[in-house]
Amino acid sequence: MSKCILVSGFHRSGTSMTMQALCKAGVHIGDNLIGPNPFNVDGHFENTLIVALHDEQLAAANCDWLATNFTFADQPVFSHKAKSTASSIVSSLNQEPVWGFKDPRSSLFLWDWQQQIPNIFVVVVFRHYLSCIQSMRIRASRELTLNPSVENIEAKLWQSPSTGLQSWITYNRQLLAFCQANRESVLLVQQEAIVNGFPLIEYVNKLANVALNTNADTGISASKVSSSIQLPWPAEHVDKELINKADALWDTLIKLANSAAVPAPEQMPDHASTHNYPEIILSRLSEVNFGEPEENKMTDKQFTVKTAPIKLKPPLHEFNEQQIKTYRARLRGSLKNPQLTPAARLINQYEDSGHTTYFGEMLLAEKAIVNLDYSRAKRILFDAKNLAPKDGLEPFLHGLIEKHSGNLASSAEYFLSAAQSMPENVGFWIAHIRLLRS
Amino acid sequence: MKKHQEAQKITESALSLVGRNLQLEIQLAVLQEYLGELTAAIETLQRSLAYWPDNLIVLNSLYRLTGKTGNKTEAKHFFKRYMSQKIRQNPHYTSEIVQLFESVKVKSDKHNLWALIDADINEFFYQKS
Repeated sequence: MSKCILVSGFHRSGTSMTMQALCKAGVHIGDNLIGPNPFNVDGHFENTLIVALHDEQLAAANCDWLATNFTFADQPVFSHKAKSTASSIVSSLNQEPVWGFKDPRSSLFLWDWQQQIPNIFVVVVFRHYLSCIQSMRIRASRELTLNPSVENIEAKLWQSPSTGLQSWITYNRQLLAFCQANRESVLLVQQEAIVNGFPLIEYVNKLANVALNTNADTGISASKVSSSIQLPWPAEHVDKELINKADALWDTLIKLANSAAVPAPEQMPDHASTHNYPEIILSRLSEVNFGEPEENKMTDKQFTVKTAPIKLKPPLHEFNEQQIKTYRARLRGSLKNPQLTPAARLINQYEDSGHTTYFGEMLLAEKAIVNLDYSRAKRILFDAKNLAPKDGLEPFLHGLIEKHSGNLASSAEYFLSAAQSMPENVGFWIAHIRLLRS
Repeated sequence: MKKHQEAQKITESALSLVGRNLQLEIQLAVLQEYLGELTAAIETLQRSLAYWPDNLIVLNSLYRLTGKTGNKTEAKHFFKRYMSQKIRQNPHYTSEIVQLFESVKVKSDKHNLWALIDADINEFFYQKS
């Protein structure tokens, strides 16, 4: 039976570095991964489907990834749907004898993964809150340079100095509870110990009784990790009780750890700057030519479906075939909206009109697809096929149904047929190509 | 590997049918990257960039791919262009940044944040790569 190595820990605690080392030593993590960025130059080693699953569960609990209001749970909390998604993700990865995944958010769902995967071993990496908060706030500042919205989740780390600490406590409390209840299947390591040469692979081999390559170049380098505190954090504005709670958690983690303790970093005193930053930045920005991109230049906005309200000029009792044809892409977007959208209104008009037209039937089929009623959608498509035998939309929608039903080979054939019918339609080609490489 | 090669051939055929198309060119670069043809992927994106010089996906992909080849100078250049372009495309940038600053509760922390953002803005708009 295959064995799973899950790497867990708070954000910016070295989970990517740890997963990278395990991956190089032979742990299979699949290829559906989040790519690198300036904060994780070697990549995140995170499975996009698992991150999406965790985000969905957090959203259902009214939380974001900071999880400051996450309710402590020492038992599984996944919904029925999430369990089913997790099961299919596991099936796609557990074909190799030793496989694994990592996502800091998994700290909040360790009991769920333990329930899903019988042979699971967890490597928990922990790092002092001062280091984590510093790293998160620096990363957040760059995100905020790009997107300075007050609604940005990253802004919370600056708006209130308690946010980062509360988040650290939530995650590490969950981690600690799981560690204490499952000592035989958990390796608890301080991030700085791994950087300083803790024999991680040897310990994992022993824990899970596997034979990962202990001679592999793990890619771990002390130069990639900042160990000192250089960014002030206004601890005097944080509830003392919260800091005491974090210190107590830290002491327990250190005592339980499999690695020898590395001293915690020292806090840098906060100080009032003499620079007048608002004026400096506003002066800089006044020289920048802001504005929308020029109309004749393509941008990545082309990839989004516009769902802005569509003005329907003809009276509601008249069905207008040309409108469906013209606005189909926008109507498709609004089909997903449960309210009475332009698409829903047009479909109602169409059904009441007694007409049978190709684009009208296509929209009906799309509505059935959105409602997951694939047998109805297939019937509509079959009946409408002869209305426009050379059009690519009908095979494209067939392809969508097959894709949603998991029949990928058949779906690829339909998309190709759509593209060959209308070679100028890039969307059909892209659908086919994406499926081929998935 | 085989299915990716097939997808690459089809993308190239589609491109020859439709002419210049950004979505297809990006798809081609994605496939070339998957097949280990990093240099070819970068060349494909460089050609797209010549035609769509402000496109964020192209700039971001070029940053990522040049970084992957180990060319840190090039990677930094594309990252700066990406950041700069992303900021320029937001006409509300200045007012949003003022609102952000005002939403930070602790006075000394406002300055800490401004110092970091100022360093980024300075780098993306004013320093040569």
